[in-house]
Amino acid sequence: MGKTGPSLKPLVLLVLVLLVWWLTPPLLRSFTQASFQELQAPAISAASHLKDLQLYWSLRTHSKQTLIESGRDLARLNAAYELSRQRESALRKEVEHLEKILDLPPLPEYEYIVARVTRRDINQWWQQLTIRKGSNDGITKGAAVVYAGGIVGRIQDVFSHSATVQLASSPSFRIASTIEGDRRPITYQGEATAPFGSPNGKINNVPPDYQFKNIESKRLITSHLGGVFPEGLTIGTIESLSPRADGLFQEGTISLSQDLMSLSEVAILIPIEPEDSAQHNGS
Amino acid sequence: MAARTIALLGANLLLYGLMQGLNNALTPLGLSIYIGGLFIAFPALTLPPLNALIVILLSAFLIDAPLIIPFGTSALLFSFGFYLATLAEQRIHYSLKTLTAVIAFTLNLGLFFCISLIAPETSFSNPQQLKSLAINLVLSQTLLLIIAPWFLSFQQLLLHWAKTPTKERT
Repeated sequence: MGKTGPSLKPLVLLVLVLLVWWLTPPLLRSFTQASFQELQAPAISAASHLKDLQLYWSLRTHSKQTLIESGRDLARLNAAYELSRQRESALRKEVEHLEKILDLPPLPEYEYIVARVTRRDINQWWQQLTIRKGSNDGITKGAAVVYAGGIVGRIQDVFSHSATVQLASSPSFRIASTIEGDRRPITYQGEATAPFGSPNGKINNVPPDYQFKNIESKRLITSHLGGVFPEGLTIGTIESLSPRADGLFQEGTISLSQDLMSLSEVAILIPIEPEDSAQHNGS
Repeated sequence: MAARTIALLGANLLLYGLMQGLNNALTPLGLSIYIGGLFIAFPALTLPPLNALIVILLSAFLIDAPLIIPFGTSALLFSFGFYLATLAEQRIHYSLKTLTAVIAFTLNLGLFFCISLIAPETSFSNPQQLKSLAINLVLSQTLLLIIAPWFLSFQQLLLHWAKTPTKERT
């Protein structure tokens, strides 16, 4: 007897896949996910190292004159940073003194872990980065991620040698923030990134007495209520404010830095426990 | 048979690497491409069902691993795509290359819409996101049409090297 109808094998296989999908315990799924992530991590990391090498060789082509000029600019910057470090040291002592007098809990301190960005998934479906450091380097889930221009996001998933960062432009990213110069908390939430545009966010619960034209600073910064983020880091710039439908508060749009879309290096802030902090200060 | 499976898995890995590299480069412009349909079409039409499914599932797991959607979502969608491709193969009679390109294009369109519905960060009420979806969909489908002939020839070449060339459909 010959073959009479279409083969049933693909259908049987599909049903099998569905059964496995429904019956697999979540623990096994997350183990498989971690295995596949670890499997491709070396390849992604190697590609990132190659890119670094490429950058290194392109920098090698610069003339000595450029190097001398860069060194001079860097020396000036270092001098400015040295002054601000001395000022910060004096302020820190003052804060510690006030904490003792007022019996306040100490301000949180952080260890900075710098990591290279190996992959960017920024589109209509997800807004995340993959970095080249993971749990083996002390990265923890939920830690704050920052760069020179302000906040980047927070650590979403941690693997042994890599971690994913949820960007501040992600609609699932939400933190407490304030407008510079005012301490009233405002809710910030990420929004979609439009093609050929900069990443955006939105703010809610803006008190009705704010007038867009009258605000001295249009910089939105992290609040002391922002959880893992230290106070005062830049989130973005307020673009507009309008009354909400309920009439009680205002809402507005926030323009985030375009640099978020092309970051190559970020810093992860790992909170230092008070005992560790004392050791750090001692050393 | 294992050589064919490994050859096509290798081709899919290469395509995945290229897709990732291109997406990294396009990110500063706010653009992104998705060519998931190409991972499914050729293996589904040329390999025995079990081997095809292994190639497709392994490719899907690699795509899924770093993303925030529940792990296995792409695998499930790709499995449906595989089944639809085998159904189409039994009903539509074109040359292998044409059929593979048509199936890859159609599957990619379907996968794009399915992931848009599943992805937790997609909001259809947001005009900016709709614009982003439309532009990236057009870009992805165009790119798929451009690279499909090259990628299919490359896969055929790999099968030839694996000493298991495909038969031209009549």
